[in-house]
Amino acid sequence: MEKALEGIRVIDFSWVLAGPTLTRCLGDFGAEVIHIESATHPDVIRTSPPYNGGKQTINNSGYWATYNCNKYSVNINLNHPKGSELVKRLVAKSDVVVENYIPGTMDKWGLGYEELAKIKPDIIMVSVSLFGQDGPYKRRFGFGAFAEGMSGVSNLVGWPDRDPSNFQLVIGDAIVPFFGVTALMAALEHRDRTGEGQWIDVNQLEVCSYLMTPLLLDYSINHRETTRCGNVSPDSCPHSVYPCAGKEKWCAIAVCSDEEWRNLSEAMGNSSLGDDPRFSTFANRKMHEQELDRIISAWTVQFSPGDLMHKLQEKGIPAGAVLSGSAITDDPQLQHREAVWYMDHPEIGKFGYYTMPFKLSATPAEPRLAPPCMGEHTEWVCTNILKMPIEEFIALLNEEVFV
Amino acid sequence: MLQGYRALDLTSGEAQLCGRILADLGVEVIQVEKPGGDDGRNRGPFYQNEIHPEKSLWGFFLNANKKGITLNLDSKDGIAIFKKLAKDVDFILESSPPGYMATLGLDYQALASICSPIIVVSLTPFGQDGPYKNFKASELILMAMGVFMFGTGDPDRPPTRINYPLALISSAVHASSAAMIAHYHSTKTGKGQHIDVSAQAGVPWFTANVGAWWQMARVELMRTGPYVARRPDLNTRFIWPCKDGYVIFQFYGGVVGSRSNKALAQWIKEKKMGDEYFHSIHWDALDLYKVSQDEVDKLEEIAGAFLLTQGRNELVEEATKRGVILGYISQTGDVFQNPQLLSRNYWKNIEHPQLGRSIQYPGYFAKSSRFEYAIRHRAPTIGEHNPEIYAAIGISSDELFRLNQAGII
Repeated sequence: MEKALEGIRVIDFSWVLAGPTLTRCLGDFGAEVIHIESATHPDVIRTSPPYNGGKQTINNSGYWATYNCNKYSVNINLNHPKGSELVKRLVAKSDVVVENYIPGTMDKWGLGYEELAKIKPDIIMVSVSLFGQDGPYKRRFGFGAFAEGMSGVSNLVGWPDRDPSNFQLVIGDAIVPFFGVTALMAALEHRDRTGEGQWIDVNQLEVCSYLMTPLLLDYSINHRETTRCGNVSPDSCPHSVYPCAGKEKWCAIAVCSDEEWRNLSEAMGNSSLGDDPRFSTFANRKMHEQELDRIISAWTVQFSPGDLMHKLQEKGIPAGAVLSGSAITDDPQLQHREAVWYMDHPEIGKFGYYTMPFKLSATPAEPRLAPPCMGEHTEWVCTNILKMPIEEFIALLNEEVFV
Repeated sequence: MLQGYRALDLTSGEAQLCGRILADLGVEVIQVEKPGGDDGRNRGPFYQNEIHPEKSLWGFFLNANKKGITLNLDSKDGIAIFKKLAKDVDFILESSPPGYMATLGLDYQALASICSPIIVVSLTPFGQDGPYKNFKASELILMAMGVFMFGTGDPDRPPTRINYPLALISSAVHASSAAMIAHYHSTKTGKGQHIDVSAQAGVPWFTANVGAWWQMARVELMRTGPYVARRPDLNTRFIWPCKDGYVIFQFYGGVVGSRSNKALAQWIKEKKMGDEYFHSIHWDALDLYKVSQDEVDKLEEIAGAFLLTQGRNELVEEATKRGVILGYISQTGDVFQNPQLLSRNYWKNIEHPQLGRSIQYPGYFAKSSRFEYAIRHRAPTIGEHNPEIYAAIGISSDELFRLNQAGII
């Protein structure tokens, strides 16, 4: 099939999650992503569990694999002067550079935007960071959670009478890359039209704060502080997660109208509940919410989450099983969407890789490359893209440029 | 910035963010609402808590930088006018249930025959086809079915959502990326296409290693409250109460981690807190992948007592100086005072003439050495751009009046 980003070459210095997600998306749509990494200072996610078979190698982390298919891997020692020279030769033949180190790190290697633009004036560099490329916090070390925390998102998870809950999950790391992709596509269009490159600065603090706009306005205008609220909703009731048969089996139900409420009481085989004045209107249900949730819980506990979901959806009631990790490979709808691609890998075997949640009819994303083993394509990139004579490659190898 | 491109935005709810992002990039985005305004205008919170269709704060966010027109797509005349508008656009964004656009005669093939190349972006909870395509959804349902909630909340209570429409909002962000990938392809090849975005399928991207743990070890990662599961048999605390709120900290492993742990221990010692055991720990030798839950609990008790004696701002300032890896959780008001955002001129004052004032907004989602993808003007009022947009397709002001009376515009 035709590829949307055919012919776009990306030099990828990214690590951890945000940068790799961004370049993963580019690779999925056909860009040639050349991931520069070091075998002596590997990405911390490459050395994070789970490992295939339980025993760690540099190539068998499922965590790393998830984010790094459809890329080539080249080992370059950036602390070696010939290493950064090599990178510059690659950049001269590329369209895009992506990196998410602490701001200033690329400059330290002589690979900052200004330097790269001297070699390739129309290069587009995307720098992803926690707090931005300038300002008092630019060098501050941390994780995505620190930027999420600073934007206030973290205050919104959990129960109002308890401490905020940690999410076993990431927010900024997962959403910032897509803003990066969007801005990058606009920059490529601009380059093709004008011949001009640019340096894009996208960061978690600013993106999370942008997404918090309504809550921030509510504070500045109405002095209202939004906080965590369990599972209740200001405009739907019942609206919660209900226990089902078995350990840790749950189903979410969100009744958004009086009609849906009547349908629910019918589904419960208890239409008198639908006429009960305590629950007849949204305001009344909200007033008796705890009691209502108790009645519903006593009923839901006899079903499996899946059966309950289907039973309620058939009656037009928004309901969804609380799905666990296995659903990523097993849920029928996610399977239908190809939410994972299966590819074989020499050290991982068959593994399902998350796919982009959007389908392009004319230029679909495609699984082309399993995640590369460390440095798997070093020689290929040097000899095929840089047209390096093999003698030079061997000389650089002996000088430890490719570690 | 993008110039000379135009989008018709038929979406409602959070899906409107996709058009907002395109508008930030410079696309002329025309929000098409039903006469009287989109239902989303009834969504609170409202400006000064006044329930009013021109005062929804979600509307302020989702539709800034757009133009706005009204048009009744449930009428023949409305469809005819829409087709005229669609002759000269680059994007059409829609979030109706699968199949609904076809019932209007506006499926992708029909739209592509009116305007080529055209990029049609469809945002739905589950996608355009598949066994759940007609399921009714809400944010709660999507967070449940997207494998998010299973991992959030306290272990002794049901799984919990986040008090923010993250599934639907992130789906709109995904849609903007997809639209721009297709747009870039279109500028090179002259070909349009149809994009099918699923909100449910987007949520697993927030789950990081959850899918990998299931596939490789048959482990289902569970919610752990303010803790992080470091191993199946070890939880370490991640979110901690302090004197006036919460901070984020954990005992880390590795070289960087042991430096941070040591610096915290020194700080606690200077405050004359901690016990003999705590101060005898050899931090370089502490391996967070091998340590027992009991040992970690002891360390955390001391750290927790110390953190409670300090405010979140003092803690972060001092931690930064000392090399302790620690962050804080803002309350909403803190964000406006954030020195980093202030130093980057993040906040933009946007005029709201109808309200007789300006309002400070988060200014942009990204900037570059050439552009700032910034908020430029407030969201449109109901039908604000009807005269301008309809005049451009040859509808006279008399005709506009008639169409208005007929409930078409």
